[in-house]
Amino acid sequence: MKVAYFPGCSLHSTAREYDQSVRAVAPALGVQLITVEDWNCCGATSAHSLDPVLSLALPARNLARAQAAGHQVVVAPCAACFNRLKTALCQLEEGGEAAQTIQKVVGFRFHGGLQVKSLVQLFWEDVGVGAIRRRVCRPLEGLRVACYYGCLLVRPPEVAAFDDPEHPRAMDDLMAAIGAEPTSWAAATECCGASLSLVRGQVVERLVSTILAWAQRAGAEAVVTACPLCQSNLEMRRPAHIKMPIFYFTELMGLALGLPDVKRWMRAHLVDPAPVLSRFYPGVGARRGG
Amino acid sequence: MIRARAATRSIPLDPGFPWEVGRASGQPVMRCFQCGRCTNGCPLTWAMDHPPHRLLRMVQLGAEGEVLVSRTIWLCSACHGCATRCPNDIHLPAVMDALKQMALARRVRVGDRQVALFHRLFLATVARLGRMYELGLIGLHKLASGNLFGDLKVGLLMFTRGKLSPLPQLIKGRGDLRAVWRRAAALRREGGRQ
Repeated sequence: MKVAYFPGCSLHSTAREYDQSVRAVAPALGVQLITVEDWNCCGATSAHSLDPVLSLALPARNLARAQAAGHQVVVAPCAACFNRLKTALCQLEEGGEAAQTIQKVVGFRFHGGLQVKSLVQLFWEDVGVGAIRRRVCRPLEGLRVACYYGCLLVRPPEVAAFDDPEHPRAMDDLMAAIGAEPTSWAAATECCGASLSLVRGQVVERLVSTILAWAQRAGAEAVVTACPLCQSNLEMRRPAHIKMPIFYFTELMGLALGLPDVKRWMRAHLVDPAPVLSRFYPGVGARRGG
Repeated sequence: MIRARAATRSIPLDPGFPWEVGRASGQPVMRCFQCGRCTNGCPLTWAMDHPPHRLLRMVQLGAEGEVLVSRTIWLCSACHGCATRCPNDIHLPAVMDALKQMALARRVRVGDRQVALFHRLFLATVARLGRMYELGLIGLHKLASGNLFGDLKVGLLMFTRGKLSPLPQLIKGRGDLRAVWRRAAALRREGGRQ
């Protein structure tokens, strides 16, 4: 299966280990990722806050490039990028005034027949839980994880059009497929505060401490996310007494599939994953030898 | 201009305001009947000056002055919980965005200047480079806001873990993007004249 890959800005900086694990796990599951050539930032929260035209035109330029390269499916690992790309796609498909504006501003003609998917969606719908289970060689048996969907992976439902917006289960299924035990918990679709983190750190700290407290109460040893903002906020803004590692779902999948670079990804974590993962993978940790 | 008398003070009301917000956001703001589902599910009400359902009521009543200087519109993280649950299909994050844009266009006192500054710098960075440059954005925001030493420890930790790349990434199509910005600005001017 060949798909266009839109990494997004965070995957080149704060979420480097997400990018690395995606690029390792996808081919192991038979998915060939072809990076959208010369992609640009989707505009994120800032574009839709300040400028309605740019908020659609910025993601649409990437869709235009994917269309020009003959792709049918664009995959975004970041939940925020996924939301922006899919919002632009929905507007283009509707074909109203907004669609005309977008095409004029970006300078392309939309032909249709393009799909935008989050990576969780691609693995769950197109690769399939069964195919993943068959490839597992190091099952994470007994690892209790809280799957954290956050906001934009499943919301708003008319845009995401994927899974249940209040009780999603796609990531839980993926974690169960690699042998882990997803726990049922209250904060699975709560918001981490997203881009408020840089300027309103204390606001995000309060949201994060609530989320992590729920995860702890549900007996989870780790939280699993599919969004670079969720991951960095949960690790950066955690209360000092909760030392729970926050994994990208692809990192744990890579570990279960026996991929070679797991140690490199884990070294990027701010919370040392060794106490949780060393029973599956001795020597894994945040620092070399540590 | 109508004046509503509250317990302690009166505020000016503009009956045209809700229709203006409805047009700018594309949302049927007059449909709200104050069920409060938005506020009940909102993770940020505790940090806001007006909870979301009340802000929407203020929009309906035309309390433009109060609404546009509110912190609420800047603190909404657009998590879309409210939009998912609204029985009247009002997409509240779109209303919040329209209000932010109106507040900036009308040059009122901005409810949260730090957040507004962050969004401006973010877009300015993307306009020039084509992609986000975290370290640059953090530096610019520190200089512009005067908060030089906040988050130094966690920032250093991120840097040593290779999570903040020292150099920006520039896309080749920066000329393309400049044209996108130019055409978007032209549209905005056209919209303003109508």
